[in-house]
Parts: sequence; C-alpha cells; structure tokens
Amino acid sequence: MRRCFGSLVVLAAFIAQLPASAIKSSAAEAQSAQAQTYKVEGTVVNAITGRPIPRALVQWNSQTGQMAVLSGPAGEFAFAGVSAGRTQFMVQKPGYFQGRGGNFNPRSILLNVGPDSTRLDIKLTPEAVVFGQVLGKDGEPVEGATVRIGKADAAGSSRYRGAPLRNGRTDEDGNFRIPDLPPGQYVVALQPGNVIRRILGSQSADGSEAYPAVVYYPSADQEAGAEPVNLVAGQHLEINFSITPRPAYKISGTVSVAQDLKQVAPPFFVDRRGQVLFGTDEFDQQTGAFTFRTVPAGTYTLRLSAADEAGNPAVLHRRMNVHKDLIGLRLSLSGGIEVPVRVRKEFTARYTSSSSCSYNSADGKVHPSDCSDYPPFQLSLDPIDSFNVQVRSNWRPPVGDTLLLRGLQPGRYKVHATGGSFAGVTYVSSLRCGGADLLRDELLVPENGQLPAIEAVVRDEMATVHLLVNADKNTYATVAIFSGQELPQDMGQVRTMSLSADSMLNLPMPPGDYKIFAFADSADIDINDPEELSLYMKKAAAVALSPGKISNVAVDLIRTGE
Amino acid sequence: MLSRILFCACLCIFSWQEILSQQAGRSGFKIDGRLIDSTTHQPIARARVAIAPVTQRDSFTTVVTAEDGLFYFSGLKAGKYTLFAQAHGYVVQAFNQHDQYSSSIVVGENANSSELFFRLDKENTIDGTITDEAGDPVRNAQITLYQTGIAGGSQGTRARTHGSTNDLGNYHLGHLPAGDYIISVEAMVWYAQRPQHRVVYTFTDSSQGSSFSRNAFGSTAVGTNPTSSQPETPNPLDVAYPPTFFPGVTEPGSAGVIHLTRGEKYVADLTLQPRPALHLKLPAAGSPESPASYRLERKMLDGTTQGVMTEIRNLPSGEVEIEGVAPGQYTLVTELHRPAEPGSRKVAAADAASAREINAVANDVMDEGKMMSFAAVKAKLLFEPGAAVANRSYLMLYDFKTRKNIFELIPADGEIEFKQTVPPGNYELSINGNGSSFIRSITGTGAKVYGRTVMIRGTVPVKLEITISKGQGQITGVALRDGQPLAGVMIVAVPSDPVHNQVLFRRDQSDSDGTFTLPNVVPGNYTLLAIENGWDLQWLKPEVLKPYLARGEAVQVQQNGKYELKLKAQ
Repeated sequence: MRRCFGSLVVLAAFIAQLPASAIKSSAAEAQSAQAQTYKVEGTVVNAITGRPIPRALVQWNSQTGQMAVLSGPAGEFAFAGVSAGRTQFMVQKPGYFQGRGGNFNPRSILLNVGPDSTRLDIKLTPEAVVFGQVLGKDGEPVEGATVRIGKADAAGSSRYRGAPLRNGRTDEDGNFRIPDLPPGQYVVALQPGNVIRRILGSQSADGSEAYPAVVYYPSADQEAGAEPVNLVAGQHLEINFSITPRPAYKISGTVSVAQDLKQVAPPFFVDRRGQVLFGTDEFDQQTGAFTFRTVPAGTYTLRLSAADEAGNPAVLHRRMNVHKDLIGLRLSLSGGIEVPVRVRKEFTARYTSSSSCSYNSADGKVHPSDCSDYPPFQLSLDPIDSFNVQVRSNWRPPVGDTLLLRGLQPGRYKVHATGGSFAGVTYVSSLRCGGADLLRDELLVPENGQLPAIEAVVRDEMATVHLLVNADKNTYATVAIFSGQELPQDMGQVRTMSLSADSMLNLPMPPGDYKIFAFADSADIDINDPEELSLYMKKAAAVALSPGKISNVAVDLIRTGE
Repeated sequence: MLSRILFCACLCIFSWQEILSQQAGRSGFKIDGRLIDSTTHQPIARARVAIAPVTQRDSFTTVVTAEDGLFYFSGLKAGKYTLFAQAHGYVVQAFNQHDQYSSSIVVGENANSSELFFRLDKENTIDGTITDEAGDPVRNAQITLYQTGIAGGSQGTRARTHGSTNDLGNYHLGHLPAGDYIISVEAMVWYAQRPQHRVVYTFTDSSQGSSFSRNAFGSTAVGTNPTSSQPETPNPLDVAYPPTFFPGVTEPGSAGVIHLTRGEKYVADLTLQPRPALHLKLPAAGSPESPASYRLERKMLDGTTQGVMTEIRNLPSGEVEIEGVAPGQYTLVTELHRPAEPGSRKVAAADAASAREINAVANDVMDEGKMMSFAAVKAKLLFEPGAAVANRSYLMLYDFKTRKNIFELIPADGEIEFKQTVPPGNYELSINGNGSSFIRSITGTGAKVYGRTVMIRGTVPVKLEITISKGQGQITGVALRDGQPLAGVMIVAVPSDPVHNQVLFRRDQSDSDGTFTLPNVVPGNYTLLAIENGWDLQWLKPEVLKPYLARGEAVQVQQNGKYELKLKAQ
C-alpha cells in the first residue's frame, strides 16, 4: 500500500512539472472514441518464475473513470466497459514491484485501449529480502543493533548511492530481516551501538571495550572496504555478522563558537554520509563542554554545528583518529564563509505575476508583491568528498540584485541553479566565480576562505523544443533529456518525462546543446542508472537550441534488447 | 527551624562518611553476591551485573558473572549504589525491583554489602503471524500489547509495548515479565479502495497534544471521477479491518487474556477479516467565518482515546461524509475554529468543540450516544519571587480515570491558551521539568478546583490562575522493624485529600540499610507509610490506604523543608 502511494505521488509530481500546454492530444479523436468501450483482459505473473500472482490489485484510470479488481487464482483479471483511449493501468501486490523494481521506476502501464488493444499481461518483480543474525563476544546475540542497507553507487563500487534504503533492527536473539528490496547491488552496514551498549551492553569490566561504531559487511571499518551484496529479484539472502569488542577511549573537551553563533548543538560522530554514529554522553550548552565516555578505537569524523540567530547553520567536520583517551580538546567553530551572488537580469520584458507572491516581511506584516522582488533563481551547493552540509542561497523576498550564500566551509561543492519566480520563462545563462564556470565546474572554497563574488546572468529568451517520438501511435515512451555531449555525473540533472507517441511535447528549455533519449515504455531499463543509459548513447538524438527559437525534434524510439 | 537543624545533621553525617571512606584506604569497599534464577535458584553465568552510584546513575561499572553466578565489585567509595543485572533470556532488573523502584546497596563501614542474592526473573516472549482473509501475510500490521494488573498503586490496563509485522506477517514481542497480557492488532487493508476524495485528514493521537493535520498525499490516493453525479455503487474493495484482539475477536470485552509466568514462548496467530467500510453522513457544522474540523476517535483498551485514520469529505448537499472505517464504537469530535488571520498559515486555536459517542453499525446507521461539549481552557501562571519554569515546559492536564493527557507549551509570558479544547473530566494539573519550583495553588472560573484537580464540565470556558512557588521539600528517613533498619520496604508519601492530589503522591523503596529519599516533595501535609510486601496494593485508592494511614507518620512539608523520619514498617 505504502509503495503504491509513493508511485502515485511521484507520477503526479512528474506530470505537474510540465506546463499545461505541453501535451497536445487530439481532442476530437478522444471524443469520438469515447463512445466505444472494450473488455480489457490479462494476467499478472511473477517476472522471475512465470507463476501467476493471485490477489494482485489491478487498477485502471483514465479521463472517463476508474476501477479496481483483485486478480483471480490464475492471476487473471478482466475489466468490462473500458473506454477507448489512453488508459493508465497500475498493479500492486505486497512483496512485488512494478516493472523491474526500484525507487525510481514506478511505471504505470499505459494502454491505448482500442479494437486491437485489449490485452495486458503484466509481470511483477518479486522483492529481495536480506536476513541474518548478529553475534558478538562469545557468540552472544547482539540486540538492538541497526542494520542499514543502501544501493551501491554502481556495479562493483562499495559506495552507497543516496541514503540507506531500508533499516532493520536486531531482536534479543540478534536476528534481523529487511524485506522490500528491489534487485541490485547493495552495501550493508551494521551499527551495534544504542542505549543498551551504553548501559549494560558491550562494556567490559573496566568499561574500556566496546563494539565498533559501524561495521560494513562483511567486516570493514570504512565504507571503502565494504563488499557489495548482489541481490537478484526474489532472492532471500542470509547475511551474518560476527563482531568483536575493541579498546574504547574517552573523549572530552569544549566547543567554542564565534560571536554571532547561538544554538550550539551537541557534537556527534558521523559516517561519510553524515549519518550519526554516536552522540555525546554529556553536553553542556552553556559552556560547550562535552564528553564521549566510550568511543571504540577507530578513525571518525566529528561533526560540530551551531546556527546564527537567523537559523543559518555553521558546520565543521573534523577527522579524528581515536587510539587513546583524548581529554581537554578545544574545538572552535565559526559562522563560515559568506559569498555574495551578484545577479544581472538581461530580460526583454518585465515579469510580474499577480498570483500569491505576497509575503510576510520581517516585521510580520503582509507585504504585497508582484513577484518581481522574488529571487530569479536559487542556488544550492552540494558538498563533494567532504562532510560539509548543503548550502542554499537566501530565498526570502525581497531580494535586489544580490543573493547571499552563508555558512560555506572550505571544500568542493557542486552548484545547482534551480527554480526561481519565473521558472520556465527565465534561466541562468551564466554563473561564474573568478575563472570557474559554475554551470559546468565545481566550486572550490579555499582554506583561507578568500573567494570572489559569484556573478550570475539571468536571461529570458528560452528556447523551445517541440518533441515528437517516431513510433506507432499506440506506444508510450519515457523521454530523458540532458545538456552537453556526455551524461552528467549527477543524474538529477537529467529531465525525464513520459509521453505517448501520438502527442507532441512542447518544452521550454535554456538554449544550448542537448541529447534526447526516448525509450519504449516496455523497455527493460532503469533510466536513472547512468551505466545503463550510456549503453544507448549512440541512439540518442542531438539538438542545438537557440535563444527564442523553436526547434522541432523527432526522436526514434529505443527498444531494449534489439 | 526543625528542618534546618535536621539539614545540618544530615550534612554532618555525610562528611563523617566521607572521612570514613578515606580511612578505608586504597582498597575501598566491595559489593559481591550471586546472580540466581528466581524460580530454580540456579546460578546465572556469563551475565552482566552493573553498579552505578545513586548520585550518578548513568555511570556504570559492569562485570560478567562467573560459572557459579558470582559477581564482585571492589575498590568502591562509601555510598549508595544501584545494582542492575542483564542476562540473555531474563528481564533486565535492578536489585529487588518493584515498579520503577529498587533497593540500592549501601557500602561503607558496618554496611553489609556482601553475599547478596540477586534474583532474576526469566522473561517471556510472544510471537505470531497475522494473516488476511485469504491466508496471505498482513504486512505492517500494528500490534499493541496491553498488560493488565496492579502497577503504580492502581489496577488497570496499560499499553506495554508495540510491534509491527514483517513481510511474512510475523511479529515478535520480547522481554516480557510475568503478567496478564492482551494483544490488539490494527492494519490497513492493502488493496482497499475508497470512492473519490478531495481532502484527507489524518489524525494523530490527540493525547499527544496535536489535533489534526491535513494530509496532502491522501488526495492523490484515488483518482478523480468527473462523472461524480452518478450514484456510487458499493465497491467490494471498499473495506477496512476493525481493530482485532487475540484470539480474533473485535469486541474489547471478549479479548483473550494471555497469562505469562516465566520463560514462556507464547504463540498468538490471528486472522483479520475485512468488513465493508462505513460511509457516515452527518450534517456539516461551522461556517465560512468559523470553519469546522472533524475527527473520529476510538477508545483504546487502556482508556486513552486515539484518533482514527479516516477520510472525511464535504458533500455538495452540505453534509459531511466520513469513510474508510470499520463499524464500531467511536467518538466524533467536531471543532469550530476561529477564522484564520489573513496571510497567516497557523492553524487557529479551536474556540469550541463538541463530541458525541456513536455506535456506527452500518452505512448511515448510527446509534447516537451521549453528547458532550468541550471547553476552551486558558491558564495564567503567577510567579512568586525566585520561582520559574524551565524553557519549553508544558502545562499538563491529566485525568487519572480516562488517562487523557492534554498539554500545552508555556509561553514566555506565562499566558497559556490550550489549542485543543478539553473534554469533560477531572484533570490534575502539573508542569513538567520545573526543577525546584512547584504549583502552590490553583484558582479558576468555569471549573471547580479541589487541590490539584480541576473539574471541567465543558459548558463554559475555563480560566485558571496558577501560582508557582520555589523550593520543594525533601523527606529522607529509615524504615524499621522491631527497631532494626529494614530493606526493600515500600515507602509512600500520601498527600492530604489524596483523591484530588494524586500527582502529589511520592514513592520510594528502602535501600539495604533501610533508608529512603523522596527528593521532590511539594509543600503540604503528608502521611508517610512504610509497607512490607505491599507491591499488590492499590495504594492510590482511599479505601485501601485507610487502614495504613492511622499507623503512618504525619509530616507538614514547608518550602525548602528537609525532614528525616523513622517509619515503622506495617
């Protein structure tokens, strides 16, 4: 049930991104076809075993209505009276995924119901399950340990892609079970620590031993040493951990912060992704004094954070090699580096909007606005290879010609320019910091914090692409568009959308060079996987979009396995 | 005056002990004993035993027991230590633990802290599988385990722990001490379909302080049907599971009681049967100026009420329709809100609310029960010199009978306005985490006030004035039998007018030297009782207390007063 909600929301958000005018379908054709209804029949089967799936929920909905049934003992279903035309089908069954499974693959099945199009055989991918036991010293079960499982970055890599997907917790016999996993490569991490560890759990007689803070399967301290686990659809894989206590030490000291910082948070240890490994045993907010009583030997990152009055965070990460007691540490934290972003608007017209741009100004009063004093775009800076936090430009109106980035720390950041008050009409055409082109390059904040202002140019002459998929009109396609010649490192920059082959997509885009894929909806591909996508690079259409111009592009449909 | 002399005497004793402990030299004092199974008296090996000074309860020293169950701590400073033990398959316990109290071990000159017998109870588990009407496992079913019996001085049913089912429909509830248990299961029908909706309201547990939130996701749960003017035909998939109790009944009164003793592995499987989901039509309340919100509540086994996840929509007919719930007993709460200020996104406080009990039998068939209205409650804190409440403290209203707990954050100016209206009840007032400050007195309009109890009847708004003073008292002492200190005795401080001042009760248990400490006693008159083996007494009940009170020790606690008493164990 949960999963289905997720899919629907994703889908809805997805359609909402397109301008209202984007999908032009033939209204007349739809009208005349509506009179005709058909019986749509099919089966639901397990994609791996081919066995029927009884009691799967099959739903359709279209302009004319909706209906839902449970499949019968042989996985069969039938709907009478489905109107001709574009109809969306969805199938759910606990323990199965639609399509090939995965977070970003929630496809519904589109069927253009008509005289030759009434049959639907649907395959569902069974979930994978990881289960096992965690044993500690003397083979004693470890209770209350957290097992986290996340997608590996790419085949063969030990890194997580994104946040851990699912968590499990061991019971008093040390057993855990994590279902609901789509097939793929995973990294599994165990965090034995919890309240029980601190009370009676893993401490030895003199309190100088503890289980490691985190263990990557099978037995690594660091994520780089993890062995990825490959799960195929429907697999139930047993994974056992055996952990041994190691020497533990005490760490204490004080955190001091710069004048403008308030709200000092207790320090805590984090992993490479900023996930908390363990927190302080004692922390005094007034003096900043902290104590970690039992830190197992190892190399960690300590995270210090505070915020100024406006809530802007300042965060500092410190690598720490713990192999003896560390007493009386003095750590200091400043508000970070502030960088102005100077904005030049090269608009051919003045853009305003009467709709809901009013805002509450600092004095609490409602300030009427025509949206022109809203930020024309927002910057978000994502840290690369460091433990810094994401920094965003100020978004509260009114803004003049300068946006502010606050709380930067030395390190490398990936820069994204998004949204703004007139997204779809205006775009950032240039974003530079000294010699760096931030639309392409990363931003390097040097150790000394000296950084020139960022210069941005916003223009309004968007290009327009009229996109048509070369295929039979009963086909539906998933389209992926990205800028440049090569796939970007960050798949978030690839726009994806779904359209039928008989409709045209009318899409405003910033001018520039693009590549466009169109995959048949039946294609067996995860379009969020850069490795899979890159296999079809040759079949992508290339297009150059010019400011204020309309470009017509026809893209060939890619069917996988051809 | 008396209190001050006693206070000085205490200090003297402490410093004398300090000297003694120094004299004890480097070797220090020790605690030793044997960890045994409370039933078989067999030693428990390879278990953890930990001590922590009572002044620093989270600073543990842990040892592991030997094959013969022996444990040994040495080099200890004189003082009191709390003793804990944890062994696989046993309940984690403090030494001689009853409720959340235990007997600490005193070490020092002339203190006997050797050859202790530390008895541990084997724990029980309950496992089970929840299946649906077709025999498929039900995932993510929410299991609530209730325990019935005497705890904290009263008989009752309390939520003990929660669990949920995994992909196999299995749940596991561990670490259960001996007792009587009831299992309740709630689950969503994964394939359930509802007719079209526009807005879905999700309700959180109203006893947790929040009232409702609008769930934007809900509106995408089901597609829209532009031809909604057509009459809706009943959908066989429009079903819901009623809350179900082991062994598979929906009547709370028929719920099975699982009696667990020691070391049991109980299996409680259950099948859920869907019922057609209800569609209840009600006349709409409120107006554009004063919009109404609705919530459906259900009484839980422990007496608390919980918001029910349901879907509520406004019909063109001017009625309100509630759907998606199974037939059953509910309370429908209708709240009228004050108009929101323009430009404000805050949910306006509720001005008034009413509730009625409904027995929803089938679609649009309701037996209506009694009607009640809820009161808007305001309170003002008046501070005596030096008194204060901690930042982000809450004023709490607690009804001991219905266990309804309503609280509101105390703003800096001490003027509290409850966002939630308050159903009729007898509420005791308290403030959480207020250090040495305490509620000295309460006066009010719109409600009768007796001691700490405010009787809210819901017909008129309630305004309270609460005076906060500084300086809670402290009572220490020793429990005696035949003139000798007695360990493990239940200590109860009974306030005057106990019925209306249940929050003022204080409890402890005498330590190995017979001593006890009640650190935060609100000034007033008390009777102190020391009761042997009184663990099953409902000491909150006046009629149960009566025979003991005559032989108790009366004490009048002043602000900042410190008292030391000798109590005869009864």
